Amino acid sequence: MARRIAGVALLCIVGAPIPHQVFGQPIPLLQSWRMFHGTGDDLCQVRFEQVEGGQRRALSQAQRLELLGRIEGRSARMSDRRIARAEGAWALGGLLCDTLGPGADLRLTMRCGDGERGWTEPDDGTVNLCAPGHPATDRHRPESP
Amino acid sequence: MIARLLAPFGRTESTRSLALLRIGLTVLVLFKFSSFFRLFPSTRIERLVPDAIYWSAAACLLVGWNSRRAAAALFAVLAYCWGRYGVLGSVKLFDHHHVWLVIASVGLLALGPCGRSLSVDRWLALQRDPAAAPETGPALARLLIAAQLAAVYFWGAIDKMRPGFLSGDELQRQLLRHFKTSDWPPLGSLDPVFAAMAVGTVALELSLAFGLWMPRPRRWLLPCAVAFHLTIYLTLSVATFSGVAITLLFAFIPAAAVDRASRRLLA
Repeated sequence: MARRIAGVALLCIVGAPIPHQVFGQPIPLLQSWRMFHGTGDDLCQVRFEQVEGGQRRALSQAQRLELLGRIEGRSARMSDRRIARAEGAWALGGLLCDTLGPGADLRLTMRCGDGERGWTEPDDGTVNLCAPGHPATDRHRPESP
Repeated sequence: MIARLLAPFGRTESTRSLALLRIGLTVLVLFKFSSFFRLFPSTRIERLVPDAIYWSAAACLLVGWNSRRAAAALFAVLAYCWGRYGVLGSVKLFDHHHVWLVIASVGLLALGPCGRSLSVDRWLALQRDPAAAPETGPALARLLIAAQLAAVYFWGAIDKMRPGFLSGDELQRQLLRHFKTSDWPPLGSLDPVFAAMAVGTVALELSLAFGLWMPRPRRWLLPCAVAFHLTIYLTLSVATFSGVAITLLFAFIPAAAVDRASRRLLA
């Protein structure tokens, strides 16, 4: 009797994830085991670098917040720290360009999450974000009052 | 082949191991679900019966009074709430993998003599007839709980076998998310380190799924598994998953060894 119960229970335990994890068809009452699957897909990794005299100097998160006049943990928003989409990073870049003033040279190297492929690279840091007419930052830069 | 595979499930062994699993799992259940099932002040009328069953079954299971019935009742009420509020509803509490892992393990407890040791059931049996109260029973429930955990490791590893994870990229994003930042690490690219960690994670999960069943590898895989879950606990937002997994790892320790150790401790 114990062996029969064991056989049926083992089938349920081992077989329950098959519809979702093998055939890609989730069945709500059959638990699959895809822990953390897709967690962090909505995240970009960014590196802002200011170019001065031909030298690139990385702007850390704290330096960016300081430039924007936001205080870590208080006026700093989550979107200033954890950037979810390429558009968010470019928008932040636009604000930094406004703060740095005319003639600034700011480069953004960025890669964003893609669950199946790993990373996509929307910006490789070759173009100056603050250059007049930069399509990405101009589009996202807030309009002057 | 199948008969050989299922043979250990019919074996008789000490029930102390299952009793310790019962106590550990009930503590986890109380820790995890008690805020959801609180009787006062906001219980709605349709929740009165599940709430009452939850509290009485959890209390009985913890002290080991009518243990198997209590385990079955607790499983029934948790599975009902998981289906109603988790699968059909959108209550976040029931929307995690480890929640079903706890519920299923409670259900599996009901398949074995989980109250034959360290329990009120045992005390009552000794009052009636000390000679007729053996602390032994079938290994079925303990081994099924172990199988459930092994399935989690196995399918977890299968899910991670895709370029997005094996490259280390997903692991890196999970850490960035945990530390609430998008910045590149100050030391430069850590891509090779994360790739090695990702491959290592999959290799470890596969080793745990199969190796924990074998006596020799088990000796070093058990500490590795505990270290693995503690690392996850410290670096990712996992709530009680690590606690659940470490408790369930107990099911892999041979019942005879647990029996000897507990007798030495209680002597």
